[in-house]
Amino acid sequence: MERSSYPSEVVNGDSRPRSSSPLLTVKDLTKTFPVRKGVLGRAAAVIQAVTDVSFSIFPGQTLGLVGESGSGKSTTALCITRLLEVTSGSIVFEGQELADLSRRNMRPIRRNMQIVFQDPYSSLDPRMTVKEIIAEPLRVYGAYGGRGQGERKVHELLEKVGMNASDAARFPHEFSGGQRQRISIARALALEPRLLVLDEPVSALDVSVQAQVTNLLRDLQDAMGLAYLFIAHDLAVVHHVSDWIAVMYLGRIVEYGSVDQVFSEPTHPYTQALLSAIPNADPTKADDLDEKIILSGEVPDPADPPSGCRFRTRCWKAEPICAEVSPELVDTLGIGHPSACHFPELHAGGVHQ
Amino acid sequence: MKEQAASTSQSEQTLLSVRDLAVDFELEGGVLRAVDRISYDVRPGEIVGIVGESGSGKSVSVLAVLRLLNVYTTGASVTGEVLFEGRDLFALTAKEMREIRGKDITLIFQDPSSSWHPVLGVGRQVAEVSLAHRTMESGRVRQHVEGLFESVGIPNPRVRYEQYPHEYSGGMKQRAMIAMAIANKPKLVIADEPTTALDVTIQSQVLELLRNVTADTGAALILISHDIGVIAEMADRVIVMYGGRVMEEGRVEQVLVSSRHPYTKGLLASLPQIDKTMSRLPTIPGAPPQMFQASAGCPFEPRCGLSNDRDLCREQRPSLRQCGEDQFSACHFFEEL
Repeated sequence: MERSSYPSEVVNGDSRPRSSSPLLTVKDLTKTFPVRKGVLGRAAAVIQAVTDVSFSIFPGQTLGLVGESGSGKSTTALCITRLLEVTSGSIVFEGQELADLSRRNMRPIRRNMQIVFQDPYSSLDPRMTVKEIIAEPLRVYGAYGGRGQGERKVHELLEKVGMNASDAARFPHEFSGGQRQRISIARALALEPRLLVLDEPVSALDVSVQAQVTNLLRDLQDAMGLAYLFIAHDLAVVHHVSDWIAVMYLGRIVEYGSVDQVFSEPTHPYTQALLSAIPNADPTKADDLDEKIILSGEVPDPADPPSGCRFRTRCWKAEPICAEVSPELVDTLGIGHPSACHFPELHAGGVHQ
Repeated sequence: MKEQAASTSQSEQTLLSVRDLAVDFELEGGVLRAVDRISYDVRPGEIVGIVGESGSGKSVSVLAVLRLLNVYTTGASVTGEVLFEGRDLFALTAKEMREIRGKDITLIFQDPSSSWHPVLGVGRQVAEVSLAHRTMESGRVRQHVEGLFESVGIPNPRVRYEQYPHEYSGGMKQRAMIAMAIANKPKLVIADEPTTALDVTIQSQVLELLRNVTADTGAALILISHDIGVIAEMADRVIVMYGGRVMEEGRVEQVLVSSRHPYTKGLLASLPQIDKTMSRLPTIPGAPPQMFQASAGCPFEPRCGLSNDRDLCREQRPSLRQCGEDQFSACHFFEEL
């Protein structure tokens, strides 16, 4: 039950069994993009898309990464899979440092780390049959085998994601969004990876179909011991699938802990506002509208983030120190999970705007 | 004479009355029935939510009401009757319809990035609706628009008036859209997924604004959303659509708490809840229908757990029957729920 990796604070209060070492450990990950201006393409400004992000993912578990647009969650995913170059920081996957690996040395790693994208309409080649789509990663990595063997693998994968072997000969346009997402998942599973990066995997699906795909992801995780990095803006979905949650705001993690800790005892005002903003489908449980935290203002420009705490411009608790010192992600209250706030509280407190 | 008297008294309490509205699209693959004979009423000042998945016909039905489906470009044919304050909208001339659109009935679209003219200032575009309907003389219109900006929470109205859409954030564009929608003191605002493109914290700002401006102006609001949570928080009554039809209708506290339709029930059960931990979500099997052949029976029958292959569900169209106080269900067997 001991866990040595960062952040150790999270270990307390969580009873879920886990193996001793993380599959993926991200430490101080930073990614900046230059904003080029003029004919010479001089870097006029730098956008800090991701700043000092650290977390771990354990085998067979799910870390949910939540945040609004521009929070850096997708950039984080692209850095981890090295589809984007990392500016600084470390990404250790199965004991190996990936941050400075060459493309060639990265290739064998990708077998074990696959990604599923949000939009199943644009992520499948319309001119390939389902069989070709799923067989492609197998062929690339020389795992297709002979014809009979390869086809059998494709059929097994289709059945694993709840489709029929006979679907192999059809084209993506013949399928609904939910089934296309199943095909994307089958393709991602072809090489038997240990980590799946899921970037908004159900956001483009109809509500009645979302539950089917989330259940499938859960079943696959249980059966294959997969670890997930699950990125979504829908907090209810993240709550349902995740063991751990990291809440991001403007490129930084502001709160991090087990699902129960973050959802039942949020201490960062942004997490509290985010949770309060979810519309509840049960009108008898819908919070009194007066109690809803409605944040003023909008997410600031990431090219010019506020000094100190990046949330302070929308925070009802902000004090002078918030503009001066960037709060560290620590468990100030000693309740078992850290949050990056100078004034963390178990209840939203103060006057809401 | 008797009939006429009855309809006058009805129009007094009904702002918009939709009867047997159907929309067909003639496509290469056949005729697609997007909206299949739906009927509903909207009373003055109330918020009616229309909820449904993609392809359920919710957006097309309101475009048809406003006569915004161009017959020539979309191949749409619209039948049925729409009464607005007792006037038959389908019998009006194009000019008469234009006088209602943008004045008495206004529309807020989903996508704030594509619904603005990119090279005209935002203020001017908002001013246009008042000028077009001559509700404001040109000398005073700028002041009027700046006042509207103020009331929808756009800071710095003077500067914002001159700016172009690309200088606005998504949330601000949607605020300006709301300003445009209320500029002529409408009686009915139709908002089609007004917050779907926005982040959740901005969504709550915009929903609060919509609630406030409609309450202040006394306008009724038809709010279309796929998000049941948004409907639950905003609407007085809800219409649940599936396969182009109304499945269930009634007061939000009834339909969303004690639904009497297997589709609504299934949809509600499949939503993950943040205050509940479940290992698996209950699901509705299958996928929403492609409506090339309008089902003779119930469009939900192939996915329905209640139907049990009964002939009635396959063969006979269920009508909306009263199943509670101000609650109606289009299920042959709602008594079994």
